[in-house]
Parts: sequence; C-alpha cells; structure tokens
Amino acid sequence: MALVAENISVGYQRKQPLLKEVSFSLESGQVKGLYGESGCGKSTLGKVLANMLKPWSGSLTIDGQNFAQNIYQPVQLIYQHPEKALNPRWTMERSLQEGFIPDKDLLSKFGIRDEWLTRYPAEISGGEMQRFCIVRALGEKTKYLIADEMTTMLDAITQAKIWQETLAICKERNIGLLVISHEMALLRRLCNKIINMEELKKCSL
Amino acid sequence: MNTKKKEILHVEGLSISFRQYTHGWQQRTITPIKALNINVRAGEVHAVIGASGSGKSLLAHAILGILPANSQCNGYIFYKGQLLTEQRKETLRGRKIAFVPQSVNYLDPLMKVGRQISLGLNGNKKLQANKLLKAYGLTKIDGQKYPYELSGGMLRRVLFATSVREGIELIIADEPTPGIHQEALQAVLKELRLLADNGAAVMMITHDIKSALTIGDRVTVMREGTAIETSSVSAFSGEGNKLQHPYTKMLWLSIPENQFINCQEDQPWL
Repeated sequence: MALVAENISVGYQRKQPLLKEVSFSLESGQVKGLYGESGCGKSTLGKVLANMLKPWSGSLTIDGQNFAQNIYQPVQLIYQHPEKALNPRWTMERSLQEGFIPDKDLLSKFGIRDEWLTRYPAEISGGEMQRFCIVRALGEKTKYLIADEMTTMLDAITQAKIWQETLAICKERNIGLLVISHEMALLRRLCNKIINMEELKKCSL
Repeated sequence: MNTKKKEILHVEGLSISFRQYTHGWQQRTITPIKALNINVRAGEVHAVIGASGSGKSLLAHAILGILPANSQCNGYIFYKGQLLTEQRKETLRGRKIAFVPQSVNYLDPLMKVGRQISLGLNGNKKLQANKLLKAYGLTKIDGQKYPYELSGGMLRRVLFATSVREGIELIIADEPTPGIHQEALQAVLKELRLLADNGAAVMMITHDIKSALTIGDRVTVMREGTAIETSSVSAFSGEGNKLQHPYTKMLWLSIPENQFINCQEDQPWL
C-alpha cells in the first residue's frame, strides 16, 4: 500500500522543467519529511502527488491503481497559505462541509469553536483558518496527507497541539503523511524518514 | 542594552473594536484588542509573539492606519513623541514607516514582481529594482516573473524588497519568515538586524520564537488582545524560569527544539 510517483516531469514555463524525472513514494502509515531550498519544487511535488497539478510526463498510482476523477480524493493536500485555499465568499461551515461532514469530536480535537462556523475567512485569523483546512482534509476516505508547511503560521503551542492530534489520527487510520517544511527541528521531531529535495532530484537523473 | 535610546513608537492603552451585522440590522461589537501598551526604540529589534488570533496583525494595521472601515480605534499611538493621527499616518507610511505584510496575497497577481518593486522608487527605477532584487537574493530573471511563478519563500523576499528601502525609520514586519529555507531566513534576519543597527526601529511580528531570539533585543508576548509580558531576550533560556507569565513559559517549552508535544498532555485549547 503506497502512493507512488514515477519519473515525474513538470514545470511552469515551456521547456523549463522544475522537476525532471523525479520518483517518490509514500507508504501507508509512514511519516516522511521533505526539505529543501525555497523554489526547488517541494510544493510542486506536493501538488502533483495530490493530483492537483497534472505532470507533463510520468505516472502516479495509489495502492497500485490510477487516480479517479470526480470522487473524494484519497490524497489530500493542506496548503501553505490557508487564505488561498478557502473561498472568501463562503462561511467557514460551508467550506468545512464541502467534502464530508466532520463530527463534533473532530472539531473539538482541533479546537474549532462553534462561533467561528458562521464567520467568513476574513473574520478569523490565519491559524484558525488553517485548522479548518486540516479538518476539511481528514475525511473518512483520506489515505494520504500532504502537509505543505502546514504549521508555519501558527504559534508554538498551537503547532505542537495540532501535530499531536494529526499524528494520532494518521496512526489510528494508517494514513501516510508527507511533511514538507524548512524547519529541521520540526521534521526531526515528527518523521521516521527525512529526505532532501536536491537528492531526490539527483537520484532520478 | 542601552535603555536611553530614543523611543520611536509608543502605543498606550490601544483598543480596537469591530462592528458586525448579525441578522438584518442587528449589530454586535467585538473587541479583539484591549488596553495594549508597547514601545519600540531606535536601534532595536522588538519581537512580538503570541497565539494566532491574539491581535498581532491588527496592532500592525492600526499603526499604519489600514484597518477596515467597520473598525474603531481607541487609545494613543505616538511616533517620535508626537501623536500619530490618521493624516500623519498617511504621509509617513511608505516613506518613514515600512510595512512587510503577512500574506503573499498582498502582491498584485497581474503585475510582474520587478515592476511591483519599482513602484514608488525615484530615479532609474529599473536599476534600483534590480539592486533591490539582488539584495534579497533574487535574480533579474525572477523580477520578470509573475507572483504565481515564484515559490512562497521567494515571494516573501519580494515583499521585503517592495517595502523596505532608504530613509525608513520604523519597520513593521508581519511574519516575514514562514516558508523560507535556512539561508534565506538568515539573510532576512540579518537584513532586519542591520536595519536596526543602522538606527531604525524594527517591530517583528512572528511565531518563530527561535528567529526572534537570534536577532531580537526585547520580546513582547501577546494573548487575547493584550500584552501580557515584555522580557529581554536573555530570559528565554533553559526551562524558562526567568519568564514571568505561565503562558510565555508554555510557549517557550512547546517549540520543537525544546519539549514539543511532550509538554502538551491534557492541555486545553487556548
């Protein structure tokens, strides 16, 4: 059981691939860390893995099967900027319930207060928005989670608390977790394995 | 640290409230900032840390006068000993007071970043913009790209280049560090420190306690809209026994370099 990307090439400008034949795999229940310089393609790889960016070439399989469209996506991406991942004209409740309806227990695990549900993204803080984004990604059918700089906008206490809950849920449901971050100290605390983006690029050449 | 240094910014008893419509014409008022005091001196880096939603960004927006229209601001903000009125804010911001915003959404998505940097520059705009790009570790080619083509960390540095330039006396940096790698982080921090050493006052709003401690002189901790503690950087060490407030101590112990999740057992959400 694994999320496997093979020989992925992708870029934003014609004939200038940012990732060139990169291969990557994430097993169920594994917590993997990914770091590297800004601009080296970490987030891009994350987007490809979450089936949100179509690669130019290469294959992407989940547990040996191809990705299906128009269903709940088993690979969920939590974005670096929550304010970009929420519809500004939807209340938080509507955004939260887009994919599935989370129960009270899950909401309280992430400290989401009832009073925030009726507000719009502009009326709550970045850290509060991010908690909604995390819960939104934790549907029953989620098998892999890509956390792209998930907690950089949070204070240390909230960060620790969120990771505590996220790790517990991933362990309980055997979710594979990819943590993309610049913060080595954080990665060392969370991950079984840490890889450098540069090496990932080199290996594949 | 030299305490005789001139105070550039002095905030006293600041409170900010918002009027919101709930049902029809019914209104409610929420007050996210109450009785806040803080001062920033010339030549120092003053870090402001605290929980998300504790009003750190609002404080910055109040100083700059860019709060939304449904807000009301009470209390006093002094700039160099004189009351900072809305009119003065307008003349000073961009010229004497620089603001590095938190969100990369503050950039224009339809304008090349090089052009955004050159806005407001005098003389040879292109040359100066390129110099600024270089100063923040970006290349000329990066300047010809649109924001969506650059990574989060690069956009951070673009935000810096658009706001911090010559003649600035007070820099308010709202979370300048998330999402950038070690070397770029060090460069941004060094830049802030250098600006302070050259006489500017720097207020750095951040979650990154480690970074705040590397370059900061003093740290103010905010919680629920008010400043609960202002300590010198040296108080953040070991088990945090020199810190006054239990919340500050908890914050210090929660960073990944310290106890991280281990001290979180049975802690309620704050």
